[in-house]
Amino acid sequence: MSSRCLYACDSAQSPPACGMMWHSWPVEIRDALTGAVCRPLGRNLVLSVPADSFRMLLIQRR
Amino acid sequence: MPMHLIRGAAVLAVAVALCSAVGAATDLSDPAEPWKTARAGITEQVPPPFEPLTVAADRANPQVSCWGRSYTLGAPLPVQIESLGISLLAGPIRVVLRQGGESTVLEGRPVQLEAQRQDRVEFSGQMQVGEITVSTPCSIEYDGLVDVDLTLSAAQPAQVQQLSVQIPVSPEVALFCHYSTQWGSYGYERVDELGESGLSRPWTASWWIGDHYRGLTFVTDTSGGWTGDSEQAFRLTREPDCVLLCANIIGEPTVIEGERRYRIGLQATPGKPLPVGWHGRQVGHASSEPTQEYARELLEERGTNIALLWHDSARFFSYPEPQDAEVFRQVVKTYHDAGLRCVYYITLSGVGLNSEVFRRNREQWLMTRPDGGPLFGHQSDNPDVAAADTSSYSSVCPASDFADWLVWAVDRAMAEYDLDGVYIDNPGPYYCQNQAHGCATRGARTHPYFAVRDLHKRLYTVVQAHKPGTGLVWEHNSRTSNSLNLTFVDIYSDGEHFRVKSKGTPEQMTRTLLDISGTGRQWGAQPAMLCSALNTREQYTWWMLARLLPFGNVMFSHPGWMDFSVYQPVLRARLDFGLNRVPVSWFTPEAVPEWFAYQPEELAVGGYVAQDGRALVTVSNLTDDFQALRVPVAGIERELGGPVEIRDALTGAVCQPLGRNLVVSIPADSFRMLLIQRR
Repeated sequence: MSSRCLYACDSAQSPPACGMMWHSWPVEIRDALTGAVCRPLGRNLVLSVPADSFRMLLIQRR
Repeated sequence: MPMHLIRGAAVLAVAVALCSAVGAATDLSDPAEPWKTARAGITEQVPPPFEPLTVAADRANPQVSCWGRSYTLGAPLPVQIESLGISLLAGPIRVVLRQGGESTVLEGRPVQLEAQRQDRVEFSGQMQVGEITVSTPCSIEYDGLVDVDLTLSAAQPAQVQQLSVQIPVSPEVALFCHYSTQWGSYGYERVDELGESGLSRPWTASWWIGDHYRGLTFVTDTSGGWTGDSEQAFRLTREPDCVLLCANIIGEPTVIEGERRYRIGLQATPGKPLPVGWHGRQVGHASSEPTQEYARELLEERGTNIALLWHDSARFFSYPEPQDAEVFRQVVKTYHDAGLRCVYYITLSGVGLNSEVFRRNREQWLMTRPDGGPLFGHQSDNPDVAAADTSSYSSVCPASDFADWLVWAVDRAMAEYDLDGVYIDNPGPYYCQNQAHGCATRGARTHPYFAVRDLHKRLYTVVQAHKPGTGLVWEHNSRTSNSLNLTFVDIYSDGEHFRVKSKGTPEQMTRTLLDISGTGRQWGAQPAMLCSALNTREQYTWWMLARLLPFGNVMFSHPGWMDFSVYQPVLRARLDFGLNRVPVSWFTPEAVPEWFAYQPEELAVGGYVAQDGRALVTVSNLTDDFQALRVPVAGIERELGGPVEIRDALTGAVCQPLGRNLVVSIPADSFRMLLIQRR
């Protein structure tokens, strides 16, 4: 079974950004609400998060 | 038996033809220079969706009509111009000439109709003012461009104190103004926000004045021969009965010796209708080495159905001949098999330094500075620099016969690689002082607006000839919108001003810019804002999409330059709705229909309604505060013909009404996309 976790982040800045190091182990990260794949930009996962809002991510081993 | 022989022979003939086509690969640097006599893209036929010109000559002022527009002719300039059924002018366009201390207003004089073809009508007028003869040889073509040589001539040297062209635009139409000179300054203005003194500008090549749906372009191609106060070369003022654009060509005593011509372009916009399914044309960068899986993913997961093939596969920069013809054919086939169209990178102002055809024609083709050096490119700082690699390039001028080579080259590439069109980078027009091909009018820079328009017309003709109805010209028009070009463009990508490289920021995108160039309605082309505005500014992804989507502007997608996880479900939702297949009615924020009676007003709303009663609506919060959309469900149900179900188009979540209203929370600088359909 794939290992899974849910990750949510938020920021009160406008317009904010949230960065998270891309894991070296093979995972696939998707927006848990839309199913869209979140691709790394270079070595980082980079997500745009509206002010006072959130993103929910589904991360699973490939 | 005879039948078998005949069939066999027929099959063989077809096979030979196919082999010939597959094996053919034109050498674009062929020493025989076949492009010089090819006349590629030159025809008297009118390519759809343009329509043949019609002429109503049975009146004092003849009227020439093209798609969507009509021009009531007069000398020296038209007396009325209509676009989409609305009059653009509050009165005749006039020329004021002051000579010998007396001012004469020239307007509405008779014209002489001359050549009349379906693609082009020629006419002229002639007037005498004191010692000066004013003549106006003119043409109008099917794109609606009126091309005028405003000509002053004098048998003996004669002094003129003033020459100005005055265009009284209807105040109902003159809501916005967009002016620009490529590589010069530009502006997107609301006319009602101009001060009491109006707007004064130095010579500026292109002016457009209009509303949300139509407008009028005025173009000149050089400041050479303009005299007087350079800061007042153009004036835009609000008058009691019109908004007046004055081009003050001669503003101080100036001697006319022999003949002096000023070339003027007038074009009502929009230039053409757009086809069913245009809202679903979704453009993106694509690999030059695609696998079948990659191509399938590009369409099915990324929602990109038009693939840009970059110049990395070409023999030289902006040289539409691939390094490996067979490999390139397979690339195109791979995308076609997956259901995508392919366009190939070219520029209208540059070509590879290493190409033999450039080396042979360098002196003639070069786009130059006053010192004769290339205006830009790898030899612009040092003409002796050797071309380093296949991507090295030089500036070349579209007013030279480089244009003949480029159209011919695109024609060959379209024929031999089954391409669907071109992506135009650097369309210009920039400026040139190379007298070898006729630039540097009266010693000043020539901004070849007319030559660049002619080149667009020929490229559009070639693309449509090879792919009727589906061919594509997609243009990166940088910071400004020029109707002479955009009329012959299917998709345009502006927004370069917001890039880091341009020292800009997405926050400089104003509502006025979106009103003028955000929807494409005024040009008759599809807007696809440059994604590079987001490069290294990924935090603006929601912010940018919130501003573009209500205007129907589907950003050029590049997963490496944005948080594509925000954009991907948007692109998929649009294709799932059928925007690439079905006819839809479309509304944008300036005119949201009554059935979507939303609050608060600060929100921006745009959407599509299909004939089967479905709607896809984007609601954007362009403020920095929390907002909640409230809209009565009853109005929506009346419009769509019965009870509806409303879902978040990106997550599929049902949006339940609260009481009688649909209530949707929208974060600051963000958007929600709603799918509304009958239960």
